[in-house]
Amino acid sequence: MRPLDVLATGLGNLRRRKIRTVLTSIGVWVGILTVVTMVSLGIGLQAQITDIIKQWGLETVFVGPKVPQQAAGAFNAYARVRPDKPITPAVVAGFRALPGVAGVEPMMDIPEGLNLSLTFSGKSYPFILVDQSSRESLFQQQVDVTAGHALPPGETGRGLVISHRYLNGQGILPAAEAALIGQQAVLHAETPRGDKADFPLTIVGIDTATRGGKIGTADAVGLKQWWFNAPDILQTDGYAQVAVHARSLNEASQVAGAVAAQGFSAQTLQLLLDQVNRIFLIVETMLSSIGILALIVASIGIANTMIMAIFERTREIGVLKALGASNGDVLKMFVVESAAIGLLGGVCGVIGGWLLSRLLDWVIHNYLTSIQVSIPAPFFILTPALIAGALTFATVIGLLAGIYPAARAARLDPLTALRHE
Amino acid sequence: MTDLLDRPQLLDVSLPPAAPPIIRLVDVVRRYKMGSGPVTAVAGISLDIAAGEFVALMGASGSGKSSLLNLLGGLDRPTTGAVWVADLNLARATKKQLVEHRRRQVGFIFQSFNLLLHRSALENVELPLMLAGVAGPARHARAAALLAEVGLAERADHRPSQLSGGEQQRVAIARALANESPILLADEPTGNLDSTTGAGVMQLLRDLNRAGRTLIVVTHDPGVAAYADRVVHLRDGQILRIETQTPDGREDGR
Repeated sequence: MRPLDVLATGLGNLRRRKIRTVLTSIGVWVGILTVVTMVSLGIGLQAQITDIIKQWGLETVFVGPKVPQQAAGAFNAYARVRPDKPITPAVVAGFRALPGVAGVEPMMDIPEGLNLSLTFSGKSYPFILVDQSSRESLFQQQVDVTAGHALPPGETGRGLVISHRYLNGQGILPAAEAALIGQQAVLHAETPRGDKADFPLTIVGIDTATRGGKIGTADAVGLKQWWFNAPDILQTDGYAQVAVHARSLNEASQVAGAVAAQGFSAQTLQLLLDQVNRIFLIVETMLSSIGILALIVASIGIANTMIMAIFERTREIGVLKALGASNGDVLKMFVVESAAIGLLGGVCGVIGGWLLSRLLDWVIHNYLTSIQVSIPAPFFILTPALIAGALTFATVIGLLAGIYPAARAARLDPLTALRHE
Repeated sequence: MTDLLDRPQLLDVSLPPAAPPIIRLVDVVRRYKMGSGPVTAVAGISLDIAAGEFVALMGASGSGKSSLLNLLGGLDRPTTGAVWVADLNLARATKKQLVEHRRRQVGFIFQSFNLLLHRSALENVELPLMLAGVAGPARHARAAALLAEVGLAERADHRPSQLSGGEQQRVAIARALANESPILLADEPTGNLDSTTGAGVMQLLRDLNRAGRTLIVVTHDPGVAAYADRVVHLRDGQILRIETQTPDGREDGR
């Protein structure tokens, strides 16, 4: 038999039993719909997170000092944890000289436990400082500078960038923000013990961060020297973190290796990204396992339908064999039939999954808008690979379910089959 | 021992027929295992049938006539003995050879027609061609010509349910002819037809036989057997007697 005739015969037999075919395929389409919706959600979330990580820059290696083990639990405001090997200015210069390095940005953390207020335009406001290296939450859009410019990077960087939200919270209208750029402000710091100090700062920019402000590395070093009363803190404790920018993704891993070899901890976002991808693979597998369970049940339904169909058509099989059908012809005819049931369910499932994910996207988007959280849609992404995979999977499920019944049909003794009423 | 059996030329009984006999049965035995014990349907039959002959197999039910027909058609294998059809011993043929045998050598005609109900007359006639791998256009043309030959050109698009019994059997005959098989095997071809329609079908079969096809008809109806060149009477799986006759209705009285 020609393959095309095998196909036509199998599909023709399905057309003869439309209702049964559709009912049998419903199991597959529910399963595929579930798999498609769940996996597309996984892909959507993964894409969002991957985008954010990529915005941070994959070619950046984050270097920190290694902290002695006994001190690792002692992160509170007053502990001065001395690293084994501080990232001194000399070490930073060494990083800058490494091959493949495009730039180096040392950063200093802000001591906690300080009582801060900020005086500008003749008024004093309570204030919070956040670390320069701190990140917004994963789903937040990138932080943009809305007026002035970002903090000058590097160890000599000085200045203050204030968050637009903070200013609004203090009753400063957005129209007045631009006028603040270039103004001198004074940061008053007070320890719980009552020590006080003033730090003059220049306001260089306004950004879309969620709270407080950030200061340049040189200013942060000054703040920390005062807090610990340690003018040589850069020699003894070193910088909190250094962002080492590699020229390319490939060079980033080499730079990370070289830095780690010097006894510092080196992290790249690529590592984080790999981890995120690994976690999502697990999440997607778990999400789709519900659908796969439905598909296993569906395959039993297909097998049942095929056994029924073969029983009904036993005599027909006998006739076909008498007319010269080989066992292989009969096998192929029925396998095509059951694979087609699977494919039909797969097509319906993919279409249904697409519609459902569009609907859920719309519902989630509307809900988030109503609570004033703006997260860029879509949450559900149907990739061509997902669609192709779902259709293939559905067809294979149908095919596997049909193999046993079809093999039984193929092995039927023609005489017995012809006598079947 | 197996070796000897595999070389039929060494054993007299397995010798393939020389030229004219297209069919040679040698000591054919067919036993079935039934619930109540073994049943011998064919109990040692030897028979030659010449190419172009019209043979009727007659006997009561259980005489083994249908079993014999199934053996000739390659739907079944003998327990012992040899069934030579054209140069192939069906008793030793591979599955593939049996499929080829059913495709190329024999055409079946059944008592209950066995047409596929969901296919038109034309599509039913096309079936053996489709199974043999003939492409669509060639298949249509050949099937249409065959339907015309059995007088059903107008009915090509009808389903079996829209045809009379006689018409259905004619479609089945056209189907048996599709692959130009030299041998036609008919099992009670008029069993489900009234006598007038039955006579029409028998005349068609006889005409096909006269055109050169070997025809073997299983029947218990003497009226049907009367068309044959030879009538083989069977009882309990054995040949009772063989009659050679000048069939009725043959104008030339050969």
